[in-house]
Amino acid sequence: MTTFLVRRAVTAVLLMFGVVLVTFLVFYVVPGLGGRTTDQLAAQFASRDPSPEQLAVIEHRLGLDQPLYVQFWDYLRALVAGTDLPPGSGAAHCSAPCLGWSWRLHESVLALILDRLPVTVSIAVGAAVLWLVFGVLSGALAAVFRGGLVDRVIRVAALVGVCLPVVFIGPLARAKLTWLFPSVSYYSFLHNPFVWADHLVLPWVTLAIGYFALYTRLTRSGMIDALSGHFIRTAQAKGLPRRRVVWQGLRTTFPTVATVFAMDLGLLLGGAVLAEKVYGLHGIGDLAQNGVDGQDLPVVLGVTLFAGLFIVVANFVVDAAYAVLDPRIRLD
Amino acid sequence: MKKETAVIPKISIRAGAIAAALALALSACGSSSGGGSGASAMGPGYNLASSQVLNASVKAGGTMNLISSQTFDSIDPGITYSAQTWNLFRMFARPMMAYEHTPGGNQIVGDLATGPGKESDNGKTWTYTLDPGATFEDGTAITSSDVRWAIERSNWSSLVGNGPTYFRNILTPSSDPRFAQFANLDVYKDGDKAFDKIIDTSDPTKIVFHLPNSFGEFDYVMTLLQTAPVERGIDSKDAGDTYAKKPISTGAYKIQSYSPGKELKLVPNPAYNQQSDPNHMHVARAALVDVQLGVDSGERDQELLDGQADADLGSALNVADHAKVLQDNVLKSETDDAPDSSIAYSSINTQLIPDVDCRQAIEYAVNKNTVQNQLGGSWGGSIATNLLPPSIPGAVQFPTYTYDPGKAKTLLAKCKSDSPQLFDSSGALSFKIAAQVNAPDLQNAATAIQSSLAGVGINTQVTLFPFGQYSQYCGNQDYSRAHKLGMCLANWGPDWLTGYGMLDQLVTANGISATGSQNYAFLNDKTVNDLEQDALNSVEPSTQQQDWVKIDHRVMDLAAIVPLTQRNVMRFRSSNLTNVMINQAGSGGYDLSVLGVK
Repeated sequence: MTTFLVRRAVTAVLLMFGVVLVTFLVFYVVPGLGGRTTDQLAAQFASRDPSPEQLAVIEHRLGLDQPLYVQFWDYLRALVAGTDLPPGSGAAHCSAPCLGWSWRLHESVLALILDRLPVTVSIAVGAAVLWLVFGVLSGALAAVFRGGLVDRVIRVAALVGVCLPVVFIGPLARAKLTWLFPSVSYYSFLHNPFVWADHLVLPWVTLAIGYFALYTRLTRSGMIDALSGHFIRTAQAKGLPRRRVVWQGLRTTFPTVATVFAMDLGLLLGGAVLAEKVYGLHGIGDLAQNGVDGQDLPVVLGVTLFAGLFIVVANFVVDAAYAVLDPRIRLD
Repeated sequence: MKKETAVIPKISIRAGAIAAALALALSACGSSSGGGSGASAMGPGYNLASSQVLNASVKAGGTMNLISSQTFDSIDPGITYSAQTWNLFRMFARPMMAYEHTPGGNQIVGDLATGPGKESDNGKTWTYTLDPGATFEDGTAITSSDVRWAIERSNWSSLVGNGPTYFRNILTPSSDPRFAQFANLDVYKDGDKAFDKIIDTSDPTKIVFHLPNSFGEFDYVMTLLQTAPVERGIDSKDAGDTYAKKPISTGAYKIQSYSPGKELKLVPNPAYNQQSDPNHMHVARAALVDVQLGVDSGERDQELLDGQADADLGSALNVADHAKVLQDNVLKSETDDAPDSSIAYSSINTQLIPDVDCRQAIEYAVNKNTVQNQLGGSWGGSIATNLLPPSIPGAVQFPTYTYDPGKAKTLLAKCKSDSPQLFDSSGALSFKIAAQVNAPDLQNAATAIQSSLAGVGINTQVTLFPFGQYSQYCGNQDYSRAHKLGMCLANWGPDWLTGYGMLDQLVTANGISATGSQNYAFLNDKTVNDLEQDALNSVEPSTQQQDWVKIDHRVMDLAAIVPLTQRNVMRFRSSNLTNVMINQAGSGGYDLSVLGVK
């Protein structure tokens, strides 16, 4: 188990380094290859008609006066050891782990992310519970009643769900269902769980519809495979009650569902961009999108790294969970 | 029964129960109000806020909910540069001069200053006296030295960024070798002794500016929030870091909390001394002002129309929501569609198309009726024929080019014979028309122009650039020439309501720079530049106004700009708001400083 954990930890660190490197290249280097100059980037943080001296001050503040490899190294170093900030940044120091310092909001990127994390977690977890419960149940029902009316209704519902992206359902729901659901906004769960849930029902449902469809299909196909397997036939022949047979069939889908679920949840925790934008919620996805719009590269880099961390952790949890869910898997 | 209480079904039941209960409760609410609290009460009337005070009241208390799709680069008043932030920040920052609080008002009066500056030395020396008794929110008395520091820190320090640079350009012009030492000056590091002869504050109640050149509109420069005092002792300790996070109020409100990119909360400033404010420029009527930031514009409109938010900081309702508002009598009674002193226009690149006949052919070829339709029709604005909108004092509206394809073809033929090198191998004048990525109305207007020009044989392509980088493409001479950017569409409004505010960056040499010009036409005409200098050398408003009108005529004769519309902005204010008015104190929108709630 220890070997497994160490191996996975090393892989995770290497993965995260890869994420940082690729993101850095995409946002800092590629635009330069397309002809964008440092002055042009800095000018976006200046008023009309900045003088060369003013641009120099801004470039120093943003760290753009350093060669790219120095900027990258400084970023990595700040992650581990923190860093002192240039004058005009809004603070003197960014403590480790320093995910960067926002060029636009003049705030630690980590602080910005943590400030918005509860919103994203609330959206993601609520929606995940909905799609997991309803997706797995309806998939199981469809498999058990394969070919029947229930199966057909569920399959059509799943097909419709898959075809309806958040960008379609969200604005539609916001425009037409506001009379049915409360206004969408974020209230702290700790303050009042009922008020919290009240105001997030709509984004939960919006997000869950698409995933529900996927999980229904995933569970249905997995269960149909399992229910036609030899071990099920043997179990039935030996007189195992149908309830337990169905349970065994459902159990075989757990590893696959768990894998996909962990990845989906991990991705969502990195920012449910569309749902957050559609409903005006200030989560991590909203922060990332504003970062891209405003060319706030440290925010983009920080959010990507943070989202990558969720994926890596999700992967890790899945690997570990496999051992529990599937006895054929051994860690060593 | 036991099985039903297993974890997963339990949560699903709860979610269902919550949804069902809320659906019932809210459907009941929905049926009684007909669409939210804001829609439940008839507003004062359509399009009245520019001409009268709506819901006049002296009632204090309550929560005012403001909303914006934008976020602030900073809440430091000295380093912000947008009409919306200026409007909002005037609630807690007190500049020396400000616009009067009257419906439609555009006159400047003293705010922290007792009145307009006393001019001498032919417009080179300006003296202002501070109102006595003014204090910061911590009770410290405000002196002229604090005003001086506010100006210095926001123009000559590591803070430079998004704020305006008028003080820097006027007091220490980079083109003047006498001020070379100011180019890299940082007052946090180097101190501000160098300014002793430029900004004299030896008398703590007076501030005297010594300009190297005449600048007749200096009173307007003093309306910038960079003149709102900053406590030098506190601010200079950490080079503005603390102050930028929570500026110390000098106005009737103070900052309670700020969450970058999300929310700003203001509460009344108990230290505000109304005795120091004889012109009644600041008043705190609401007990709490809650400003939601960075809300998607669709969601923002929804919240406004549902009554969850009282007003936007200044942006228009989305065009998609215009019909909804105008077809509902209740919503319409809470709406204004007023001119906001800005124009939608397209530049014509005078370097790429130096032949004036070609440019005039373009002017005649553009069918502004079709363009207006794409810019929101008559709700979006009226067709513009020249640059200066009527709200600029002294502006004159005059006819210029009207849609005439025949005349356009004649001028194009003349241009082709005089300047054949401007035409491509197929014999057509060809170039690109630029619009902004996030401005669908301007994109559609660009397509309408493209269609108009095709009618006279001018071939164009529409290309899009991001809003934040627009001037780096359209304002870059080399790029524009290399990529044949012939026309760039944009909206333009003045920083202050004079010809200078409207025209300086748009059509004079001052608007051309290496890093990103605002003068997308790259017009560098001696007559225009001389007329501007003449206007600035004068301190007589009527002389200045005549010069700006002459520039307007000259630019139209040179066909460097195609004015498209004088923009109207459709705004929504909830019937919950009191003392509602649109004026220049509100940066052309609702005057936030005087609003209250019922």
